[in-house]
Amino acid sequence: MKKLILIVALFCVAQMDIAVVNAQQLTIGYVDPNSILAKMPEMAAVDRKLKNFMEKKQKEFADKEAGFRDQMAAYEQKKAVISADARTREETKLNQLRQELMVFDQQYQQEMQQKQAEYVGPLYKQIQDAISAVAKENKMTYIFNTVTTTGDFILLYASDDAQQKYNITEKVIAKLGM
Amino acid sequence: MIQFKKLIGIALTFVCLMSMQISAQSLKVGYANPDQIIGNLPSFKKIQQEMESLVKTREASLLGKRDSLAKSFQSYQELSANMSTSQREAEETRLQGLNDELQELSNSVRAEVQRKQAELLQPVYSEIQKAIDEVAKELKLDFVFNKVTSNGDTIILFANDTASNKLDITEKVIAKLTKK
Repeated sequence: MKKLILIVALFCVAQMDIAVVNAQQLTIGYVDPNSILAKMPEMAAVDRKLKNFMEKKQKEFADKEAGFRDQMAAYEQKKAVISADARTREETKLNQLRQELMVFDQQYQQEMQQKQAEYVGPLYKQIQDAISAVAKENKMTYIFNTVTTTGDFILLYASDDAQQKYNITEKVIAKLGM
Repeated sequence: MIQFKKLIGIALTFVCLMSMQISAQSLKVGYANPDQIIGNLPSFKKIQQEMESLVKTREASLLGKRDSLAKSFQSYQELSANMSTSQREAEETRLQGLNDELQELSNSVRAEVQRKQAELLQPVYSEIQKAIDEVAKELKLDFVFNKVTSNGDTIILFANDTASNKLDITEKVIAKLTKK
């Protein structure tokens, strides 16, 4: 009798051990945040704002460039009749303008990236929060990204079963109320 | 006594159920290096050769045009001092036009080469994906991760000896693809 109770008790302990193992069991989910970002309704406004900014800057650049071309043409016309001194002065000025154009272009590229980060940042934050919430609800240990920004796959394969259980894309979309 | 046997029976069933659940829940995660796979395929080597010869032919035709433009420019520089302003402008416009043309041509060649490469590689990529799927199913893996991206960023920074022996499926995928 006592022996039997002992055995049962041992089984209970074993079960507890298993429960501990169970709690520690690794679960891995995955999602492609960029595909969710692209589907967010807010992205239409972001794209519009970026396009407006881009068009404004491109127009500014075109105006500056046209101004530079005009001065260049004017210089070409008079360069044969002006003094060597005046020519050097004019050329220095034109070079400066050319330099300014290049700097403007570089700054424009940088500003474009900054704007993009500024507009998209809060959306990424929303997606990240939704991913964390879904992961916690589903008791997942890790959530992996599936694709890099350069288009390389991080996840090469997920079994049918794994796709059903661990692809949290739809859950994240639902959590975002989309 | 019978009750205790029953109890033990129940306990045993529990344990069995628990351990079944564990094996069902334990994830098997493999990994592979797609670049290494593609580099080992005879079909990829053939594509590389094809691309090299395409690039060579296009380069040759571009080189001819580039040479003739360089010659025109050189003769313009030699003669420009003796030209009238209007002659000089006409020649400059002509050279500028030729230069733009050449630029456009080399852009379109680059685009053509990229397009051709993507077109030739597409079936190879799907073949590789199919082989990865098959190997993963045979080994009953839940996931297969990429080991390293095409621009050389490492995704899997460490796998212990057991994992690299059992769960790196790169060689198996290569074997499957080269056996056919």
